[in-house]
Amino acid sequence: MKKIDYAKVDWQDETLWLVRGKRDRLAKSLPEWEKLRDAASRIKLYSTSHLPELLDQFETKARANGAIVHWAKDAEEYRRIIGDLLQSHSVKRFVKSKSMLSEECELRPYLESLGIETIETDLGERIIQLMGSRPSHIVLPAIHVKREEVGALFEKEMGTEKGNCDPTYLTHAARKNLREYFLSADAGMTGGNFAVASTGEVVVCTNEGNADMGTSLPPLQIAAFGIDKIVPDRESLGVFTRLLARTATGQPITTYTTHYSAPRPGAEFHIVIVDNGRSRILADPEHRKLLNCLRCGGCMNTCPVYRRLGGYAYSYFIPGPVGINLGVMADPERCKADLSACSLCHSCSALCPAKVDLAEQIYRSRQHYCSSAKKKLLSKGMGFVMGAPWRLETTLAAGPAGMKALKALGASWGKGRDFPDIASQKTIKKLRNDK
Amino acid sequence: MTSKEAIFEALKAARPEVFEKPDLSEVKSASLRYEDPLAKFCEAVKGSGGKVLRIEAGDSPEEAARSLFPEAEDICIAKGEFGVAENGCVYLEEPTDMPRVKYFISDTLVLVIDEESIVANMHDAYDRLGEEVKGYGIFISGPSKTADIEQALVFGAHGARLVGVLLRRHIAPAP
Amino acid sequence: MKVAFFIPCYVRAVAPQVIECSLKLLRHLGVEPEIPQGQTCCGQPMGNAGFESDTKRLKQRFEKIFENYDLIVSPSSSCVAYVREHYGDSFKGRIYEICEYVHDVLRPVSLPGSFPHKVCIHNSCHGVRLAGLSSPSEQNIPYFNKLRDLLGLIKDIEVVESERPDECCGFGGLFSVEESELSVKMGRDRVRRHMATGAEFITAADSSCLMHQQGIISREKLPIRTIHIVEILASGL
Repeated sequence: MKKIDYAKVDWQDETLWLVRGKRDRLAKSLPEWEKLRDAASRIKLYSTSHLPELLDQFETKARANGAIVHWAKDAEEYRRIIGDLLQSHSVKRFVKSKSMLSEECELRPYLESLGIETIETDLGERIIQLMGSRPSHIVLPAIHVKREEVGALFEKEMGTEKGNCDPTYLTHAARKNLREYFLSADAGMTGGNFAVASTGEVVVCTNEGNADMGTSLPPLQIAAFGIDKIVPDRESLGVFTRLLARTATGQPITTYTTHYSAPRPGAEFHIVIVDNGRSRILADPEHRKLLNCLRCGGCMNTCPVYRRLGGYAYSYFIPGPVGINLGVMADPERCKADLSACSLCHSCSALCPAKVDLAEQIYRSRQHYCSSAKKKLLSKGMGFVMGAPWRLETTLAAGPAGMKALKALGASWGKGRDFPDIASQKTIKKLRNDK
Repeated sequence: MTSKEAIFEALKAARPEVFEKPDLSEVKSASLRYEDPLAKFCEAVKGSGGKVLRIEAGDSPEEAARSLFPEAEDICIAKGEFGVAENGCVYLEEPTDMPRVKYFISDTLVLVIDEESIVANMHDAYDRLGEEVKGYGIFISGPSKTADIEQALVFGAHGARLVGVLLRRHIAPAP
Repeated sequence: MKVAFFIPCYVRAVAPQVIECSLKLLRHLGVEPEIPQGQTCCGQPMGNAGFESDTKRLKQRFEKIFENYDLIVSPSSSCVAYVREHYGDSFKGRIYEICEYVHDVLRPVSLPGSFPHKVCIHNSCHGVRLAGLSSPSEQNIPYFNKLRDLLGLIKDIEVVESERPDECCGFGGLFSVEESELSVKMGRDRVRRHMATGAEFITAADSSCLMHQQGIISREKLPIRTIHIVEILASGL
């Protein structure tokens, strides 16, 4: 059973609901919103069902633009490609922007084991890195951290004033601190929000400008993304750049929407295209639509369970509705317990900008993996009673005795809630005959 | 077998249901356009935390920039290609007269565009760009920002702390 | 036309007045439904918990019981949505949630009775997002709410919706037992938002959400009550 942190639950719920509120206002200001979602879903379904040709087209274009393209089957190969690149370029200090793929493939610990100083430059990610922790949300990685905690952390790490936890003050301290790293980095890396097949460009969306700083100075730039990030052309890109930030943070667009195609004059540009289980998702008709996901975090902000539990309650590094599904695809034995963290309210499915059938997939995964023995017992018991009308009649007619058994089975119901009274079945019989 | 071949083999073996490429003309034509795109653009720039100033064709951008940000010490003035009304973005390409990093490392960034260059939305923006590759392109809307500490909005995370847009009025043809 | 009335198992167990009021309402509007014998459960609790495979025979019996009816009406949007989604196509256009049926098909222009109370609608998840009883707050579609329309037929009633009008109350079938702490927290939050409107009653088209919220209300002795929407709609009958 998932535990609630009562000290933070309401604050976290309200904060994330605020983000959903901002998203709602923007979604409702565009009359074409539902058409955009529909278009996004259909473009993604087209793209993921034409991956070989679109990826081939992307590679050809990217090469013609002067980029060097690498392919990684899995996390290990992804880490090795990047590690080798950095070592062959004698990189000592490496700045990276937020990339869920790098979290998925556990890049940072690997690079650190090679002796490469690896700096997260997104403010939230930097807070998390300094805390020695992991992101609790894919767009708002430090959403669970209170300003006082950041103040104390920065005092220790950056020498900020004791007790000063003003977000503006702390953000500007981090700006100053991280600028040193940007100016002295030997290489910079981004993920990719979109990879455009028709142009061979990688599109990166950020608000802070850290990706742009990190790629504008060093002589080596790396962009790495999963094969699901491919979109056919710029016309399609228009649909996604309109949906992404509106859903993710409630902004009409991110501050920076950067299109990288050629290397910067005097620099090298390497692109790493990664599978790491995505082709396996594609092969599973029940979960294929997970590849539609834009990693906007919208499903987390709307999920009543995620808002109350926070990201650390989940087993997979991506939490919330999409994380439950991705986790079960990646590592079912470890992540199946998370399948319980869903009341099947379907808010995620109703909100997802690319129409991933998130709740429906959780339902389907539950048919394959059981999150608890107790639930199994309850379900089997219920199935047995419902299996024959006489059994249901007998159970209901048992009245108090039946109720006792029910209370024992579902004891956890009684913590915080009263049990309902079981109705007299005479009324029902009367109603049935009373025509 | 190369990794690319291995990935492609797995993708082909996955045999996903095949979907056709959607026709986007309907969503594009249904998309919100503005009676006064210029006014919407100005509102959107302000919404993103930036400032806007309209200037005449012959005005000096430096003076205009100074009047927008009298206190600023480190102003970078850059020429944008066009603006986007729905979100206040200015589209820029690789600068020819300075390193790219100036867009981000400068404390104050002032972008100059022609006021008739404003398109309604990102569909029109990408239609204008077409599929031609220029090596680098960026949409910037307002100053660098973050809300990573308790969702409190702070300007000047890593990039420009102040951003202004100068809208250059178009030169009326001689009578 | 032969109309069957499907009684969800938990309605029968804990809310028989819902059956009585549903039948009164339907009869008042000229529909005489039959209540076929042998009904138990549609299988939703087991399916949602991950044991759909255990419900094969349940489904077969359900299909057999209702095969000879032109129409099936039931006072639970969740069960109706489940049958539509997980049963054969023959059920898709044939099974209705009672509010949906009254609102879309029978279309009364008035109902007798007065309910001089302030009532807050609990827009239940499956009612909103699966059965289409109201416009989901996530989507940009014109506002509608079939429950509000129907309640509007009753005199002297004041109908409101809460902040976060369709957030989950945390019932979720076996979720309420497996994740009981979370379920109770969600329920308490939901009840408090209903209370913040100043309403005396929480009403919904799903007895399950109401049973869960009433359990919290009773435990905490809160000054609000739950009532199924058909109880209000049939209050003058």
